[in-house]
Amino acid sequence: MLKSVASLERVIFDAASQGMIIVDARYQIIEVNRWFIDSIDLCKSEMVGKSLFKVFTFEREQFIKQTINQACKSGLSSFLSNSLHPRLFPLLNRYQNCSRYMDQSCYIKPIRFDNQSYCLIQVQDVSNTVAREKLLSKTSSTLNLFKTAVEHSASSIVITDHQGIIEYVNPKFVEIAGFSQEEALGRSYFALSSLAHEPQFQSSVMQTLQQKDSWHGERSFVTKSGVKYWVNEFIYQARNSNNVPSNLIAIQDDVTQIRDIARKASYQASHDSLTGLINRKEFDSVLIQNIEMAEQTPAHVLCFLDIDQFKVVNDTSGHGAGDELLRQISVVINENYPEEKVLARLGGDEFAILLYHTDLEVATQQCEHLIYVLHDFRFRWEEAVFSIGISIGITLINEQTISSIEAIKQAENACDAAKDMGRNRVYIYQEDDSALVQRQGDTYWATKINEALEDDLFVLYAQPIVPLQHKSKISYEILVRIHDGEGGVIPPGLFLPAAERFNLSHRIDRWVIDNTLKWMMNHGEEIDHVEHISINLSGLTLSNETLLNYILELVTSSKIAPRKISFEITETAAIANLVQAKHFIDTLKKLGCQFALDDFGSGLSSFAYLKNLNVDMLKIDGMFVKDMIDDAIDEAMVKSINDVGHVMGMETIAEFVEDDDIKNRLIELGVDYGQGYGLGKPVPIDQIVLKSVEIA
Amino acid sequence: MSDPVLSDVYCDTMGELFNIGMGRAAKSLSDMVNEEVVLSVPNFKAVKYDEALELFNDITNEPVNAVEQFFDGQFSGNAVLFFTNHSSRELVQRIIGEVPASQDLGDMEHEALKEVSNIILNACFGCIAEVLGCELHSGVPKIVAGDLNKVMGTQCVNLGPEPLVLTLSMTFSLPNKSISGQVSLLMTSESIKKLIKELERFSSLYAM
Repeated sequence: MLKSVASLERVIFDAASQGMIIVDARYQIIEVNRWFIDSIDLCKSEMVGKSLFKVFTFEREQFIKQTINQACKSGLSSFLSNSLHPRLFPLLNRYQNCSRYMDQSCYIKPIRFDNQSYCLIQVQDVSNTVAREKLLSKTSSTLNLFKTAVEHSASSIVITDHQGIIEYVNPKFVEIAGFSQEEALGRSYFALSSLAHEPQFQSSVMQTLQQKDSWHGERSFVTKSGVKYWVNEFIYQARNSNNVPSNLIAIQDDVTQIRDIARKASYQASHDSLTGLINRKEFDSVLIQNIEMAEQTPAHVLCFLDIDQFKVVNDTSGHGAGDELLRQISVVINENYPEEKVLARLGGDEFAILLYHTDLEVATQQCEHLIYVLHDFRFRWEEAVFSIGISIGITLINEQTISSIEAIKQAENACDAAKDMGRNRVYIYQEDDSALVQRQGDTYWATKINEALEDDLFVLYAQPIVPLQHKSKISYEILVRIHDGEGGVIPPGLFLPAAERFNLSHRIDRWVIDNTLKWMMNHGEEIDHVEHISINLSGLTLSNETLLNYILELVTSSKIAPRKISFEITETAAIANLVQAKHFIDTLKKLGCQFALDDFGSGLSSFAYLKNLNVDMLKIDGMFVKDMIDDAIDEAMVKSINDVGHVMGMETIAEFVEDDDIKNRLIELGVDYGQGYGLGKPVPIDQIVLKSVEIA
Repeated sequence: MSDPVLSDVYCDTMGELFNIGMGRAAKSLSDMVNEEVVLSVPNFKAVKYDEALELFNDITNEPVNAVEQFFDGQFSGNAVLFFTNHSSRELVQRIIGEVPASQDLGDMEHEALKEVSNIILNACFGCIAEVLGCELHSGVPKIVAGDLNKVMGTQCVNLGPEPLVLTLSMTFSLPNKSISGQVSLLMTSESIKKLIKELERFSSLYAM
């Protein structure tokens, strides 16, 4: 047995802050120190003198024996780790609640004493280390997980120090911003995107962070190669354990595409895709803004524009042509007015312009200039060439303007009035304007026409069509008027456009046909001196089979010679309803009636259509005739229509013959007939039976 | 090229001794990890310290984890077994079944590595002592980690101007995995002479 150790060594042995057991080569426990005894539920006498393997149970007893043998017999030192021999001895863990037994590692060292070999088993408490490492391992797994999340994040993530100097950027940031890790680290986050660098931005972010630890906003960023993109960004302020701001964490999502889509959507919602102009909704909100601010600013003028020939272009050449016309017209309109304006397409062929800071006089001049410009404008589509007119209504926007709806209504009414007055003109809205007050909206004329039909308020007038080349008989064109109830009459220019809009024109046509034929029957012999009586038919009538049959029956049953009856259809109406028009013409011509194509040259200058229409006469549009003396182009138009008409075996009639100069020029050109104030004004029909009709 | 440190015959003898030692260590380790561990010694070399360093640098430039144990008896020196960081982590992972999260090994992982290395080195010492019939004691194992040159440099502080190195590459063959380590005995030339004496004595015993 080991002799009792000397007193100092004994004291040291017991004072050591690790466990020590000495065993001999036969595994017998010779000594245990104080630390070991204090850490175990056994008293010294239960251990000393007993075999190590009797006192303790080991999982790998053989291995421990071998280790002790190596020490005692070969003098080799060994080490037993806690990982491979967890809690080798049942030592109590007095400091931690997490487990009952102490984590320990052991050194097994050979000792020689008194020529005997022993083995010293030295036990160290590694519970704290194990616990710390477990925690560390757990924390580091969590960190690893977070790192993976950050590195695979679909958002760009940048971590900076508290002043914005970049310490980390994730791969997404590298991908989007184009800066490599190395290029980004150490640079100021707020200055990285050089174009977007605004010192105010950094200080405003910092200010926000002082108050609430996070900043959120959308801003533009610039990639390394200078491409601008938009990010939705969160910047968080991280604090250290002393609660002092230590880092900034910026998280960016690239929203360039979303913004583009949103911008496109809002553009589409506020713009007309055809012309690129703003639409009615957007114009309305612009107008509302300006009306709200009208008190502080000079007045504006609102214009409402309606293209006169749009429907014809659309109906004859198709929507493609109509669309192209709108595009071209929108350019012409835009160029004609000064910069300080808002131009919108309200829908169909209607445009609106808000002219800023101007008055009615200047606006009127500008509108008249547009009409002048459009007079020379020709729209070409394949073989066809169209001349275009425009009607414009204008109204003032000032502090008295009630609302945008009201303002648009005023301008629209004024535009309608411009149309009523013969189109291609400007009409200014005035509050006490009787013409407009009377209209009181769109239904006024509809009501008035219905009343006239029911109460028989229509009256027939006739205007002479005078032969220019030889002394033959005079013909008359029947015109319709409404008694205004006060002894006056309302001219057709006021109510016929409304009749067309409200589908009432065929009823007026029927009334005219009825009453004209009735009148002719009643004055059979008194109109021998008349070549023929000409009745206008509207476009709607041409497609009305019932009305055609009615006319057939009426002419057949009356005793009037069909050759005395002539019908006038406008060129635009005929072409818009070409098939029906042909049928209508052919049917009545078979009976012996004659046909004239009215207003020829106004909408279409394509002679190709003439071949399809078996008419007897061409009425040259008065627009060309009235200015033909001063305007060489107009004269050329008159001449060419006349020539073509003659080649096709038609007689020609010039409208708007206002004076002798025109009359003489027409005679020179060989035009067959003339009609106009210079040759004879319209008179009530009864007056034509008398020879006293004054022919100039 | 200077004279060989050990003659080819003695190199073979030493290689054989290490091989036996590895066999024993492998048995202990197999018992411990409950799976078959095969340790093999592809080659043994006896070189000067500088040549050894070149050799090691050819093996790896990475930082290493080394376990050192001094030994003394008839001859003395420092024994070092080192693994690259990567290999040591894989080895520990296989032995204790846990994946260390961080790049560097923690204290507990170091301890496990220390124990495994200790088993291998002790097996080598035991074998040499037993077969050559000489006395060989070893000190407790210590872990040294870091740059290879630095780690090796600390081993030869007390080994005189021209230490010699007996070194062998060893391979742990675990199922589906091979992990390499390098065992080295650093000795003074004096100690090598003593070793050679022991080897001579051993050969004479079996000389025909």
